[in-house]
Parts: sequence; C-alpha cells; structure tokens
Amino acid sequence: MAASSDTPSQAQYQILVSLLSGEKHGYGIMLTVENLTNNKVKLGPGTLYGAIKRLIEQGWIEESGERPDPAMDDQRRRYYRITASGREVTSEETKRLQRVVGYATQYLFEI
Amino acid sequence: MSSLPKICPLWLIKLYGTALYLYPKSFRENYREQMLQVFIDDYQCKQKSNSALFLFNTLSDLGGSMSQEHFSAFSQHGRIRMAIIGLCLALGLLSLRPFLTSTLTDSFTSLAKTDDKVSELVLKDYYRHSEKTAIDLLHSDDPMKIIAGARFLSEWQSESFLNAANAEAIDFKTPLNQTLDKTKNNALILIAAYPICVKNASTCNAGKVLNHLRNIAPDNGMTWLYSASEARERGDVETQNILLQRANAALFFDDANNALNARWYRAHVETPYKLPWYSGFASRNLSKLETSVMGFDNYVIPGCEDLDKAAISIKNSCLTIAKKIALQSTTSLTLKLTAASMAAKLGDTDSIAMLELLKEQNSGYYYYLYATDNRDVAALAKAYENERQYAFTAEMAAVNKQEKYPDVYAF
Repeated sequence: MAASSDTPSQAQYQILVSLLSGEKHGYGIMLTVENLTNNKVKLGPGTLYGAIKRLIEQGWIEESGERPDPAMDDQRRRYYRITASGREVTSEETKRLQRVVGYATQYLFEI
Repeated sequence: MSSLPKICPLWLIKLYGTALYLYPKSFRENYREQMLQVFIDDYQCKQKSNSALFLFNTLSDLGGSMSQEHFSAFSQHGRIRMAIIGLCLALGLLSLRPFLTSTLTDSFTSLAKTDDKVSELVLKDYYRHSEKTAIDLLHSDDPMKIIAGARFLSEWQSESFLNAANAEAIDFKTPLNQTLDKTKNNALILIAAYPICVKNASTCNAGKVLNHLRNIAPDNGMTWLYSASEARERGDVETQNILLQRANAALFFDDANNALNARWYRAHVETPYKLPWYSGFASRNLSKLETSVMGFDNYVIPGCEDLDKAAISIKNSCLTIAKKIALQSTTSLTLKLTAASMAAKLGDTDSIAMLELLKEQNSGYYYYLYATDNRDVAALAKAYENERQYAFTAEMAAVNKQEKYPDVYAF
C-alpha cells in the first residue's frame, strides 16, 4: 500500500534525513543513507531520483542554486537541500516512527 | 592490493545510459545525466564488491523505479505506453528481490508505513501480549488470578488457551497428588468453571483430557459435579455419566473455588470492579452448582433399554452425593443447604431434618440467597433480622483491594 501524499515514503524519509546535515548531491545522499542504515538500505539511482523528483514536487526539498567550485566538483552534479516544510514533515515522521519503535521495543524487549 | 578506483567499463556506461531511455521522457530529461553519474560513482567506489551483484542490484532498481515512473506519468498524462509498461513490469519483477532479502527492520519499517498494516500489527501484538499475561495468571498460585486468567482466555477462545488447558490437564495430577493444594489445581478450576473451553480442548485432544480426568486421585467431588453438569448442558451424555460416577465415588466435596467466586461477586455488588464482566460471575457459578446437584432427575442414558431403571440409579447416585455434601464439614453453608434441599426433594427424610438444622445454623447473605431462591418468606424475614447478613462488608473490603491483585485489575 502506498504512503499517503502527506507522508514521506521510506526512501523519501531517508533522503530527507540525509539532507538534515546540509545540502548534498545525489551520490552524497546515497552514501549517507547507506551509512545511516549500516549498509542495510541502498538506494539505486532510479529509486533515488524517483524519490527526489517527488520530494521536489511536494516542496520538501529543492535544488540548490549554488554550485560548487568547478575545480572542486563536477559541474554536472546537482545539489539538493531540505526546505522548511521538508524539515517539518521529517520531524513529524520521526515522531511517528519513534512511537512505532517504542511500541515494538516495549514488547520485543519486555521493558 | 591496488588502491586505484575501479574504472567503470565504457560498454557498461553505454548500456546503462541506453537503458535510461526507457524512462518517461520528462523524467529522463531531468535526471538521466545525474543518474548516469551516480551509476559511475557507485561502480567505482564499490570496487571490492561483486560486479554481478552490482549489476543485479542496478537492474532491480532500474526495473522497479522505471515502472513506477511510467505509472506516475500515465496517471498524470493519461498516455498509455503498453509496450514500455509491459517491459517495465517484466523488469519490475526483479524488484521483488529486496523483499526476499530485506531485514526484519526493513520489513517492520515498511509495514509501519501504512496505518492499516500498523493497526493489524498492533492488534495482533496486543492480543498476543494479553494472552501471555492471562496465561501467566493461569499458572499463578492464587486462585483468584487463575480464575481471572481463565476467564480472559475463555472469552477469547484462543488457541493458546486450548493448548494451555490441555497441557494443564496433563500436568495437574502431579501437584494435586503432591500437595493436595486446590489452588494449584488449575486444570480442575478450568474444567469446573470454563467447560466450554474444555469442550473445545477436547475437540483438540479429547482422549488425553478425558483419560487424565478419569485418573485423578484423590479428587474433589465438586469438580466432577461441575463437569458433569456442564457435560449435560452441552449434551455430552456419555461424559456426563462418567463424571457423575466419579462424583459418586469421591470422598470429599470442596467448593472452595465457588466460595471464592461468591466472595468476589459480593464485593462486586457492593463496590463495582473495573472489570464489569465479572458481574454475576459468581452467581452464575452458584446456579451451576445447584444444577449440578439437583439437575439429574431427567436423566437419559443412550443405549440403555430400561430408562426408568437408569434414571432411578442416577437419582440414587445423586442422593448419595447430596448427603455426602450436606455432611461435609469443609463444604460451604450454601452448598450444604443446596445439597440437603436436593436430598430432601429426592425423598430422604433424614435430609429434611438436616435442612432445617442448616437453616438454623445459617444466616446472613447465604441464608438470604437460600431464602430468595426458594421464595421462603419466613426465611427471608429471618435473614433480614440476622445482623450477620452485614458481616460481609469487611470481607468484601479485603477481597476488593486493588493493590492485592494489581495485575488482575490492570486489564
């Protein structure tokens, strides 16, 4: 069942989280997500850019106008950053997942 | 070992770049170049990884995301690209791979994504946890808790309960023989109080349950009476006869379980519990008790040609049982009254005298119950005159302490 339009999907949420620390290009996002999930979740290019497209449509992230120094990075790369509404939705989703995890923890580990 | 990046072969870049043309045009125009760059970066950084696995992952990602983008474009523009979608669906099958290899955490997170799924999960887990708690109560040493646990489980008619009932039926002989402690005799309590579940348990393992029932020694005649009464209610005449014979052979009759229920019930009447379904619980058991002792007058034994003879035999058995109960020192006054009343109705003149004696000995609530049940106005007047009727308040308070049974109240 698909997530509702006001709730980020799993991939979208992970991208949003990865952008909390600052703007990143596509491959930077992919690596951050892998690090965050101990390499358990790997976003392929298709999944990554499909999610990015929808995140932009939702207004949760935006393409950064600033480009790095061409000498330091490839001009073809585009950088993305989280918007205020993206930060808000990430916060809400994090709280929701915390409740789920808290519930699971309570019963899995008999706290 | 070389530390140089593994260079992505040109043919692979071309192949992937060509495959990206399968995406919808609008998507491709925006992201093809970036996707290709990410593909190259990923390949070169994962130089230690298996190339075949890398390609497989990439193809899975390609198929899954491509079909999603086409469906998205289709829903937005209403354009059907059947050939491409068909191809995408075929490739999309590869996207099943993540489900086959996903971790429990991934599955849980994915499951938690939708409210319906979460609700199902929560509900399932709630019942599992509640069942566990109820089964813990069932194995308690406290009869009140045992009854509470059995009550919850019986209402749920859970498989766990049926298994627990069977397991208890198998094990309960040992603690009974060792300690003669009725509070540990969980299976007896279950069988006595929740026969519908035992009936279901018997469906699962009828032979075992019945065999263990038949081999209990020493036993409590009240349990056999309860069980016989319940067997009668559910139309299981064969079991009823076996249990009644067992009751007839029993040496003692102890309705401690029933007395506990009655005490609990009285407490409930005065100060309602948080558990409303306990209302009337003890009174129902009291009625069952009466049925057990007095309800065997219309007896039918299948296969017996001489039904009258069989009925007389059963009545005689009941009379013997009733007299034993009426004389039992450990039996409650309520039960003695019921038993003596039954024996008197069956024509035992000694029991008539016994009944009168018991009426004199009894007072308070038990007497009140007897008087109202039998519409004995004189007895009722006596009950009201007797101050002992109100002596239950202290007893009630002792039973009704929430701190005494916190886990029961927690439900």
